[in-house]
Amino acid sequence: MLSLINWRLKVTINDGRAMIGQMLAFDRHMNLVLADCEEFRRIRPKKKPGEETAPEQEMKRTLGLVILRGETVVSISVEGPPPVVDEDKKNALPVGPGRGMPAGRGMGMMPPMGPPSLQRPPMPFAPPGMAGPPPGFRPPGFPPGMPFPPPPGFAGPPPGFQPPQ
Amino acid sequence: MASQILPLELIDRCIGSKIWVIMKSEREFTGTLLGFDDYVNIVLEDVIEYEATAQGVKKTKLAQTLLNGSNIAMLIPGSEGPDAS
Repeated sequence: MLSLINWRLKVTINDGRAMIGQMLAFDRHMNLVLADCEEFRRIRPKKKPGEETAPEQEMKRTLGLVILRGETVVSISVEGPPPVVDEDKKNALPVGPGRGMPAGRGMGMMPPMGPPSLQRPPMPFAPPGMAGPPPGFRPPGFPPGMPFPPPPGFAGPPPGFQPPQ
Repeated sequence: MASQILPLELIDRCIGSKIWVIMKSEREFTGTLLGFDDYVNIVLEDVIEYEATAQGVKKTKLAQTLLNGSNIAMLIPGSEGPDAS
């Protein structure tokens, strides 16, 4: 039954009618939901004595969406394949630039070695071009030999302190 | 792909709206669906009964009806009945 879903089926029911529609759903009672359903009935006019058999009349009605009670179902046969819907094409996104990758938060996304800053060995010397202030350049009020101003709270070397010459 | 909506779920969604019930015999009803049970016995309100006879279709208006589920062949949700289609 599951493989017949969305197919156009012809369902014969126990009063002689035939229903043709696209099966959208079913359940264990074989209740069916048929979309765009049409009903066909063969009407046999009463044969009167002395008369030729009248031709069978076929009555057709369009019913639309129908819930058919499973109890009445006699037989089911395939009338046609599932109608081709171009909705699949409509919903598909056009191919464009970009890439897909998993996203996450926190440490999950970190490379296994740790943060990148630790990967680089500490530099043993200043890189070229950053050797320090050129000779003769220093902030005013600081003795030569102290390469950077003292942090706040440290006013400078104590009185009487002389850096080694 | 499994059935996304079961037939009985669809009937449940029709409660309060117009429905067209076709019986196993030549008898049809339209009306507002008030409710149904596990046997798909159905209660309708503001009902028109259509009975196909040799003389033609006989219409009867009824206020409220209970239909025995064992006589029901088909349900057509949202339909005003044979006159509309």
